[in-house]
Amino acid sequence: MTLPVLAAMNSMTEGAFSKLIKALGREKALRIGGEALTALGLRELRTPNELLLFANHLIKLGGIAESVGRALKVSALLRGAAEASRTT
Amino acid sequence: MSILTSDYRKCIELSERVTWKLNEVVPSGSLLDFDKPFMPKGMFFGETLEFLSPQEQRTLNQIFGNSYAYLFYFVEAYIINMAMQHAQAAMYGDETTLRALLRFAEEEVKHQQLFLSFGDMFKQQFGVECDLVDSPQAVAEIILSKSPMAVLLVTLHLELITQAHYVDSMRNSQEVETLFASLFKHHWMEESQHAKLDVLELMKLRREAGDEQVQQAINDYFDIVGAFAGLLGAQAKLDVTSLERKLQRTFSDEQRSAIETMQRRAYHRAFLFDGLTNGMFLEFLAENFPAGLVRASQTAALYA
Repeated sequence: MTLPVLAAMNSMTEGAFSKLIKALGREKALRIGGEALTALGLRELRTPNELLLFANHLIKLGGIAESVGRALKVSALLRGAAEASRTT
Repeated sequence: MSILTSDYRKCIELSERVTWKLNEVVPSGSLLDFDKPFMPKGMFFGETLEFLSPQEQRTLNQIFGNSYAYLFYFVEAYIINMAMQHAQAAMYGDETTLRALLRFAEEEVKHQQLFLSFGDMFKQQFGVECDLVDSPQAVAEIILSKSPMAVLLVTLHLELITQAHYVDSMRNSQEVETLFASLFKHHWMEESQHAKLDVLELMKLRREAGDEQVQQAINDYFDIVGAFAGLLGAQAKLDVTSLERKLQRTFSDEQRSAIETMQRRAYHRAFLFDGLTNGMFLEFLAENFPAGLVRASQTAALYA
């Protein structure tokens, strides 16, 4: 899967990847973030529920990715995501 | 909206400028002056209770003051949790935003310690224990289960009322007990920034929210207000018991009911009516949650 460049991402995706980049560095962030999107069958994050799924995926990875995931999870929940949501 | 308009950097700067230490506001060994009322005239309605002497009315006023301070400690339990959630969401993002939110949370913990410290001092010096509503964490859990925008709206409401109470009723009063007034002055100094941070965080969520989420926020906000009214009613009832204990006097059922009704009205007016009719709060509602305006007016009328 080819990720759109950061500038071409929507604001939710760009926000999530910016956090990953800040925490992990660009190369690792884009790889891990890209793999997460692929695993979820997504090209980008469009809704708080998708952000939550992305966050939960990162949490499972442990380490700094988990920490970023937890921050994104709170952000998703604050924006109205529901736990145990599924993409349609 | 100019008074509440700000940014995260300005909030930090103002907070750093006005910051204070606990032992500066409540120095060790401080003594409260029980010859003076704690709550200002406009907020206490005990003078209508003709079966109480002026000294007994003042005692009730002081019990009210103790409860009033405690209730801010009580609500700060959920506000700390909320501020930490918003800070966590800001991690790995803009550092200024993160600093501002962490500072918000830290100051609210400090405020809890301030009110606890006052409560300990009051308990030691008043001479009898006053009953206070319990389980702040259980109430915090209920509030935090509501829509995040509703939680922020309630927080903004509470932060604006504490400011209004100090500025409108305590700041220029020669009558109010000095340390008590100082407590709320220092509380006000920091809450000014917290209200601005509430607005900044609310606008973040509001910008992306759909109509359904906005309506849910409005509904949840009024649910919380209603639940809070119940809590305040419970505190009013406890104040009567505390007064009897302090005066070593048993009131008739009619007198007890009169005191409880008066206290409930005072709490509802202070914590609910004053927020629902606050100019800045209504301005914010009008701009961002207009569907809540009519309901604010109707609900305020219940607590006038």
